[in-house]
Amino acid sequence: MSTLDTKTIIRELKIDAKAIGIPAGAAKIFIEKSVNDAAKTLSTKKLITNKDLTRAISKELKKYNADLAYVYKNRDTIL
Amino acid sequence: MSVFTSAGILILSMLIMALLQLTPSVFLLFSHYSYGKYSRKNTSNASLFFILGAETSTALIFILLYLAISSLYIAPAFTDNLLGWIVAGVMIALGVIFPFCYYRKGQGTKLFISRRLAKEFDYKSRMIKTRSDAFVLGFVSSLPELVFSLPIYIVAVAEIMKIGDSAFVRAILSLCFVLIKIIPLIVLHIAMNHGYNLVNIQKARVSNKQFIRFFTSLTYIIIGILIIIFGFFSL
Repeated sequence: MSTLDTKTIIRELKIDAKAIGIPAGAAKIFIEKSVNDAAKTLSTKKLITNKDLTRAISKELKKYNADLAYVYKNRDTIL
Repeated sequence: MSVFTSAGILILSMLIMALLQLTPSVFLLFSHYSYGKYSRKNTSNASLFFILGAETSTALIFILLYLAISSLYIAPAFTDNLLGWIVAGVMIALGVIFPFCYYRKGQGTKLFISRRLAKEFDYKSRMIKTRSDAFVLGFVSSLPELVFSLPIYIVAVAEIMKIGDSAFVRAILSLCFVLIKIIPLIVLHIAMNHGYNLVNIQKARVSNKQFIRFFTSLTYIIIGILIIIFGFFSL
């Protein structure tokens, strides 16, 4: 059992955002908001799977940037 | 077997080499993470070292097989009958299993490699800091795919030996075969330098997945049948 490490997720998402050409300032704001909102949504659940986490974060990210949501959702399906 | 048949088999082998997806997938992830962490110039330099690594491993495998098959060439009876049938059988078997085994079920372009290895490649791509890391990743990335590419190397070496009368012709054909592996990487590198990102490229890869499955499988089977009809090592 592990705790939700939002800092690592945010750091990785910032790297993804820079790679697909999203300005750093804007990316920082909406990534933090998306991850925090997703964490709030999931806080009611006792057990969170990786799938739940990916789905919740990509759903929040999609509101701001569809490309970043796509990268986050499909990161494990590239290789 | 005529020179034209050998040339046809060689071209089909090159097509398969260019369509195999493991090295381009690792390169795509590596470039993505690298663009996300470092400057464009540094990423560009590291990408070139990745390509160099992939090219080195391809060239080494090719040279080793060339030497091995050259030694077999002195026993044409053995090679004609036994090795030819084995290679043809393997090619047809690969053609049959390719559509079911190369890509995993589900969305995206998940490949046949174990999930542990895929995660390892993902982690290494993310953690690359120096050019030598990029070179090693490029070198290693094509090795797990040898299950699918080794018979292609063997066929290509045999056909090059048959086509080329002179050492010069053999050298040129060998160079073409070895370089074909890195053409997809160079195309990806240029595309990413011109503004395409992981999203555009991955969407294109997903939409072409079925085509690659079908075309590669068919090409394997055609090569196998051609070897059966025309023989492997006709001196």
